[in-house]
Amino acid sequence: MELLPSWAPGLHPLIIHFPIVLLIFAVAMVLLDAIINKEWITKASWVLLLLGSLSALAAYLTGRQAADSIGLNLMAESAIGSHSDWAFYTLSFFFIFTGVLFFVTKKAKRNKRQLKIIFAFISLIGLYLIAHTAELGGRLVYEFGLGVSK
Amino acid sequence: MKTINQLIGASLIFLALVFSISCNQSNKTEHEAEHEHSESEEHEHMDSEDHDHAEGEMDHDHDHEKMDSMGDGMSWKPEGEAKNFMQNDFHFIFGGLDEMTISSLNEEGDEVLSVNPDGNVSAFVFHKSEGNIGITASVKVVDYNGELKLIHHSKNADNYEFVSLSEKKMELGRVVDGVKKVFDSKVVDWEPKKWITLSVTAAGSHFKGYLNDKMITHGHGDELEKGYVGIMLNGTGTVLIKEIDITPLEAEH
Repeated sequence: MELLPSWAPGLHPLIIHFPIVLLIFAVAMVLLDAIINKEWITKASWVLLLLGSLSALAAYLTGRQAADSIGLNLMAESAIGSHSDWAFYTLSFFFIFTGVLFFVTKKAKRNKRQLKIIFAFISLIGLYLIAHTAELGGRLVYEFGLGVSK
Repeated sequence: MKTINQLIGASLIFLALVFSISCNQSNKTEHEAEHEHSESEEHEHMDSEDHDHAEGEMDHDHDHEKMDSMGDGMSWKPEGEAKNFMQNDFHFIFGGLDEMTISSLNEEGDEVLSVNPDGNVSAFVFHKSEGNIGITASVKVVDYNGELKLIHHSKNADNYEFVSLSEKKMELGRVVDGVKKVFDSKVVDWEPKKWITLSVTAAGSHFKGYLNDKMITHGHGDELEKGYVGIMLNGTGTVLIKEIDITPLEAEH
């Protein structure tokens, strides 16, 4: 089995779904933790956020590579830039969120429940960022046909 | 038991959230589809009115026959006497017609503009200002020693953005108040004395330079105000220009 199938224009379409799913489940665990407040859920949310952020970084880098390998396509140019920008915002948000959440929930001795509720609300911003970035990415394929064989 | 109830409750809340986002997106898509449908009906109606009006304008204005309008875009090809169309279609933001020898040639059935600059910097631009833009120029250099630049967002000789091509290198950058900033620079291997397409795109904060439709340079910077689009030459030799296509790019957010 080839590492990269012949139909794939690069790694980006192969790995992009990992950060989407991991980060959505990470947000779900953060929300769950705010409601249930269990240690195992807290740790699960850390792991999912870390894995999701790292896979988002891989997706971002491979996405940059994919964008640079596309030939001149004026119709999609602005959309490519926009998708890249929102991917960067999403990546930045989750790296910062993961770091702060880990540090605060690990170090906090009091009001942990309240802090988790605050982080739960903040995590919803991440959910929006994922959705918007994914929508822009979907447009590139389904509206502009990028990466699709003619 | 309490934990299970909490788990169920939390799962239901999460599912409701995902479902509401999904419904919002599908409602938005349906609404956009209806909006596009009614817009396209309006557009067809307007087109038939505009066409009658435009025919009258075209009869009146011969100078712009060579500039075919592609919606908001433009495709320029040289036609007629070189001095006439250089004076009608462009203005200089650096140097002038005195600093170059120009002529119209027939090259393989196509009319092309031949420019022989004298080594001083000269830049000629179209009259219309553009913002986010894609520019493609079909050019050929013959014994040309110097830089060929596609410039955009230009206000004057000290303020413009560019992609430049020299014998071995492509650069992408901007000049602000006379200070040059290079976003990206790559060594390129290309053949002079052959027709090439040199392109640049400026979409928001993303700038790219292409050679024969292949991306070579990619840089980022703040979006500048609208400015003129054209060609800058800094060298000696012959530059042939067959076509310049300009496509305004829609801003995306």
